[in-house]
Amino acid sequence: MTPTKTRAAIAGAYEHPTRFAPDKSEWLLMAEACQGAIRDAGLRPEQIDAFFTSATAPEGGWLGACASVMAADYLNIHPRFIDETDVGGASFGYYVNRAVMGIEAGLFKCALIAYGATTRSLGVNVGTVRYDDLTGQRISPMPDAFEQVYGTTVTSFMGLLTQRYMHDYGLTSEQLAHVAVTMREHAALNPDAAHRKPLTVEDVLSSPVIASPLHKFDCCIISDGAAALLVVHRDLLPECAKPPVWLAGFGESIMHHEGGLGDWAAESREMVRRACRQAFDMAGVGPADIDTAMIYDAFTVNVVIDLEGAGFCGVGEGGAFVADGGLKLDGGSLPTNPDGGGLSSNHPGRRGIFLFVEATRQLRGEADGRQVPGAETAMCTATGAAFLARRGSAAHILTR
Amino acid sequence: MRSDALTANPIYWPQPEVSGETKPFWDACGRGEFLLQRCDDCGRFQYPYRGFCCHCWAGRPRDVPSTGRGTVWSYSVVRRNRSRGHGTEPYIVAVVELEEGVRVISNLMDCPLDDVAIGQPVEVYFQPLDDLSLPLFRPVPAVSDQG
Repeated sequence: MTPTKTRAAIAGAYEHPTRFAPDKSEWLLMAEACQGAIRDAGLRPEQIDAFFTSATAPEGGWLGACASVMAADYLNIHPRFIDETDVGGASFGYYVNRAVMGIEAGLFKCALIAYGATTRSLGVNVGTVRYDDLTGQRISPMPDAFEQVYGTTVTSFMGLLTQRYMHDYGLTSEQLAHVAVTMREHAALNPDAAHRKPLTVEDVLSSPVIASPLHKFDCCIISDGAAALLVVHRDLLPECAKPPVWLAGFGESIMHHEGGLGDWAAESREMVRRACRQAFDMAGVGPADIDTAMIYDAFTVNVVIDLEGAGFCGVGEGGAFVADGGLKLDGGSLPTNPDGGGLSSNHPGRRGIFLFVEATRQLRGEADGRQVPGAETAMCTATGAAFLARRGSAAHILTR
Repeated sequence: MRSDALTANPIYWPQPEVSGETKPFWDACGRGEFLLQRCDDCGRFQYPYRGFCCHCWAGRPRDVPSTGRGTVWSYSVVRRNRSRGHGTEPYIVAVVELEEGVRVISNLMDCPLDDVAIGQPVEVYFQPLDDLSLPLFRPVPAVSDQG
């Protein structure tokens, strides 16, 4: 099936090549990415009439409260629409959705979505500290007093989720290791990727346990990084330098603790299912129509849960799917994260925006050395905000 | 292997803030009770403690002390926490499913790291901190151990 299209398309996309930039601020990295995207699109900064960005504090920089106005000031742009919806690393998917909604509603025509972070340069241990330690704030009465006081970290929450998912659905550590190994294989084809040295399943399983059952190589890397996207109304496309990558469908969904009654494991997958179903329905396609997927791989388990939630395999089949090479650029049924993902290529505090840059490169046929042959339709899925089980997912169908 | 054989006991708990809304929960901890709430309208339990029923928004949540008994629903042996105050000793973060069906986060204490398992029976106890008592869980001794 050919997806139906909205009136919005990605006209410009740029991923900053740096993974370590101690001499630059996250503001400057973001600005350089914006320059890259505007050049890529062939548009001018004064055409930008909507702006979306995310706070980087505390995990990746100093940009905090009122992030979109503060960053608009630094960039010296004059958007009439701004948004900084915060769903952690999935935020950028939500910005794409809001950009499409605003374009469809006639509110604006040229949306800039931008991100920059210096998480690695700042030496922030995003996944292995309590959030109150990251922010320097006290343990709030609700809900931190009932949670963080016990030494929870992002990785320990994902450990709790992974342990239960293994128990309920038969997933194994060895299967998860294949996700990390495949991402590293892909990263070897990407000259900008942070880690390109080959990795074996044994390497993953013998790497230090951070929070069981998650090993070091089950966890995304920490990098500096920046990216920018220009999502535009189709009226602007004749002015643009490159062919459009159309937004065909999108969806979003959240989950939380259900007053203490929630099943985090099943709900993590069902949240993805709800977001993906909305995206598939809007685009009028299904999993079989997807040529390549960009799945936010903050941890190896995220990929398995998203595969099952999106319907690329059945419930409980995600482990076998990844162990049988389903994600591989070379012969996999769903080539996933050809750039090497967050596990090997690029992961500042929030990775979501990079999914769209790689999807754009793939659908334009610009992914030198790692091109999915003839890719026409791509899917992006992202889950963010791992404050225990309070999380949000975004899903997108893009087509050329 | 030596560290794996050690009993998991985190060495540091930061002092949590208490609000007017959550004070009854912490007061109960001081009496050795783990408070859940049950709505007098919809009948459902809720946790953490809050000033309204989050399920139906209509009824009054009544304080109900939990039996304090439950099973491990999930767990993670945390081997790296670089927060201030934490050392390098591994410790167990667990989700405990109480007999009332409510899932709570806590630490599983006095449990060899190799022995922790989903489904393991556990019970609450209370650790005095500076200004309050913190609910923690430990394995329920096997019947043969109780003599």
